Amino acid sequence: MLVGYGIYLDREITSRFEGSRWEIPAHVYARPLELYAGLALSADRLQQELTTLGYRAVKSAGRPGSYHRQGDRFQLRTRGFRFWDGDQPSADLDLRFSGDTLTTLRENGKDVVLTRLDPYLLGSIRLGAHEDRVLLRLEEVPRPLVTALFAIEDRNFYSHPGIDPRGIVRALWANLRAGATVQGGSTLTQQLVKNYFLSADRTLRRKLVEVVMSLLLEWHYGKAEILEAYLNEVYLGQQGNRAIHGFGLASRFYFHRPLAELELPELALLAGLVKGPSQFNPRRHPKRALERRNLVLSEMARLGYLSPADAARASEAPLGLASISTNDTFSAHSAYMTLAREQLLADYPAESLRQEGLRVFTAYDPIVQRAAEDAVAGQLAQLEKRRKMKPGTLQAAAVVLDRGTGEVRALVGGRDGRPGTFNRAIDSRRPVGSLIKPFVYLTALSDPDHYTLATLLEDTAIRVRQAGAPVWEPHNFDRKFHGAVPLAEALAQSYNAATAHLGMAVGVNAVLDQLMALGLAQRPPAYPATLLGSLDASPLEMARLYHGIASGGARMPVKAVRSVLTAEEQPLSRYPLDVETAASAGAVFLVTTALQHTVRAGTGRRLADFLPKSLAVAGKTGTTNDFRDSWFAGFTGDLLAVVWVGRDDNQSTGLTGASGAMRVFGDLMARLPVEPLKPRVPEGTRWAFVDRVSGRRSGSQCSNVVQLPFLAGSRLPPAGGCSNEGSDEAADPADPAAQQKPGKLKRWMKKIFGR
Amino acid sequence: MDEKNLRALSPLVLALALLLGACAAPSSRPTAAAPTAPTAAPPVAAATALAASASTSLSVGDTEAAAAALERALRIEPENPALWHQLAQVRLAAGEPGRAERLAIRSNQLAGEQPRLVRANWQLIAEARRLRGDQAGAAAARDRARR
Repeated sequence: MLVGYGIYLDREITSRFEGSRWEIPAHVYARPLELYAGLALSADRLQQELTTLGYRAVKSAGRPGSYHRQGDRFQLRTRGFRFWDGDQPSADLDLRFSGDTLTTLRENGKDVVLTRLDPYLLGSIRLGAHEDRVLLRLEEVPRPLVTALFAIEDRNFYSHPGIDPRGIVRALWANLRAGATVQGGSTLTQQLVKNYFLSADRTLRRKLVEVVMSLLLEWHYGKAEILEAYLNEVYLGQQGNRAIHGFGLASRFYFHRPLAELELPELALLAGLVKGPSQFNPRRHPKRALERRNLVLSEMARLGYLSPADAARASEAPLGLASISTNDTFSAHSAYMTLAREQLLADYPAESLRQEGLRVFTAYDPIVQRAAEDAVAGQLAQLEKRRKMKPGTLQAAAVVLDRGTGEVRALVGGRDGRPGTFNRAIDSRRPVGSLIKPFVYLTALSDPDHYTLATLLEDTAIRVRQAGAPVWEPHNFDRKFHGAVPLAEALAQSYNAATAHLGMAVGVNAVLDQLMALGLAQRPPAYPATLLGSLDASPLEMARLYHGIASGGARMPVKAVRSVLTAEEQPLSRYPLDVETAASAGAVFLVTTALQHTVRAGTGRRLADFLPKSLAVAGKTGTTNDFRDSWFAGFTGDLLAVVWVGRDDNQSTGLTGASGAMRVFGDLMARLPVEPLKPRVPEGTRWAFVDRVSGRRSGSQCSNVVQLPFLAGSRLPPAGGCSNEGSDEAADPADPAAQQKPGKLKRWMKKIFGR
Repeated sequence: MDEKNLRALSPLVLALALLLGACAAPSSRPTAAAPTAPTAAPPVAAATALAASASTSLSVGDTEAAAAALERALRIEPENPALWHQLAQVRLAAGEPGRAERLAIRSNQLAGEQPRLVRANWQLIAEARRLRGDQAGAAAARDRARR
């Protein structure tokens, strides 16, 4: 009977020790920062990246994960990293910057054209309550950590058979003397067993089982194996429903650095945590944790693992914890992580993501994310203050895509980035209002025989009757009708009536077809009101649609995850770049020009408060009924962002797209070294100056004209606008350079000299 | 063209395309709006190096490594039509004619007035269509290539 139970226990403990030993959730990495000569990156920006990565500033870079900065020059030693496409060993880098550009790049003393830093570990995929760890091999564990553990937890580890009667007696004695529990009598082996079968149950029977299993474990396995298992298994902290196991993860959790880079005081702190991760939680009880750390150090010195001088010096060090800030690995990024998780869940069972230790590489860009979070926080606080709203009234979401590839570089789900908070970028579907209008114009302009940017639209009263719905009678924002309006101007001023006429002329279904081709998830019912944005979409979905315009009519997978490696660092899968033509490139070019006009002279003109006009941003504002939703979507040469501002209780914010979301957009982009937008001009395009009121061809230096492109084969607008007093009227309309510059100069001279 | 020929050809086409990308770019966007008239950026050396490494991977049949290198290059230079063309070649070699055709179309959208690259793309599209059994489509693409 007893023998039978013994065999049962033996099987339990060995299968636990050998079997699938550890559950490791999928770990998610940011994009590695690519470094090459000519890269738009300032020295400060690099320093920010290095800080995020936990690199330490030192006098001369020696160990991996350290750097030395001298003005615009960086010397650093990178950490080795295994990427999807191969190993990248640790290297010495010498980087020089000039202004906002990385100018020269040397690796191990040689000029190179390209290298990359190790990627930032964002965190692990969360699927309910789970364990998390970063696995270590024994030889990777710094020696002082091991001796610290011996000193404070198990002095006779190498000589006892799994339990240590001397240790128990010594602990009892110490505790009696102190009148409190200062030492535990459990060996590391016993603690490992306890961690395997963690239970609050402290009965004598439980204790006996633990002793038997410890003896069995020692009988089957060597000390080194047990020690390695212990170092990876021991419980060292908690964050929400995520249990921090092992020193590998604890190092990242408390210090944001790999264990191999920690110094003596930091290692001693971690060793001291074993006794009670919540009791000695250094973030919550810094004083208690410091005392515990110093006790570990003095014990190490007493037992001869350290010189008393080293111990004394280490005891002077501050705790050195990494803060849990908004940009913390384990508290923020949850919005982006949700996106990555959703993408992965389409291909992997939840169990694989929870247990198999997959390594997931994403397009997450810490620099862009920081800019987006700061812009949201800063602008919302300002708006509330200026409009005397209670702080916390407003909410926001932002999505930032790479214009070139459609990858998601940053995602803000709300003001509070903590896990489990509502992710408005993905899960909140709100009416999109005028954000839909460019797609109505895109549909019309795809028929270049009938529509150009100068085509006159009717901005007049419109009534549409439909079965089973009230009569649809859209009005303009300013409650006025503007008569015949050139198409580009109607979009730039976001006229509802003109757009409704245009949409009814091309057909609601044609507009919906275009939206579906660009990636709208669900076809909305074909109501005329849809033309003015009475359909709900998430910011992420709007970003996908706008990316179709930003990319010149191409639809690319809007994705977070680039590739996945197995726990053994073998390539598992990649999410390849793909592209599909989803809209007419010519029509997309015209819409883009109109959206640039919108920012230059239309509803988006106040963007100039944040960004220079030379960036030539294309963008569109959106405001819904009673100012409930404030939207802005826009793009530069390299980034596309969609921002939503509103309230969770769906009450009025009093904000238009321009006074709310656009300010966040402007602030966000102003924080980044963005490139100007230079859309590709289709072959054969001609340019003409058009009167913004009459839509007729005009002289270049007339007031109130706009230079518009006309696709090959489409008709130029009729002449008859105002004519130049100057002599450049006859300039070739195919060559805008010949027109714009003298025109501008003359207008400027006119302003100065009054004629 | 079988896969072997294609591979033998690819470094050549790549070199040609990158060269074209470098020297034909100024004339490819003659009508860009004056205030922001783009001065054609020379191809970034980093992207060129990645394209070369992709060629090497492709020549030993490692299409996934080649694709990964090219995608890395495209993140640096997303509007370089030669890179899109080369990625289309890789997809064709990997037995993905549908994706190869889409990538070649993208390359053509960005190629502007680079007739040799445009022609190479149409040839690739013709081959992709042939592989999918679309003979009529392949003939039409070959026609475009000859124009």
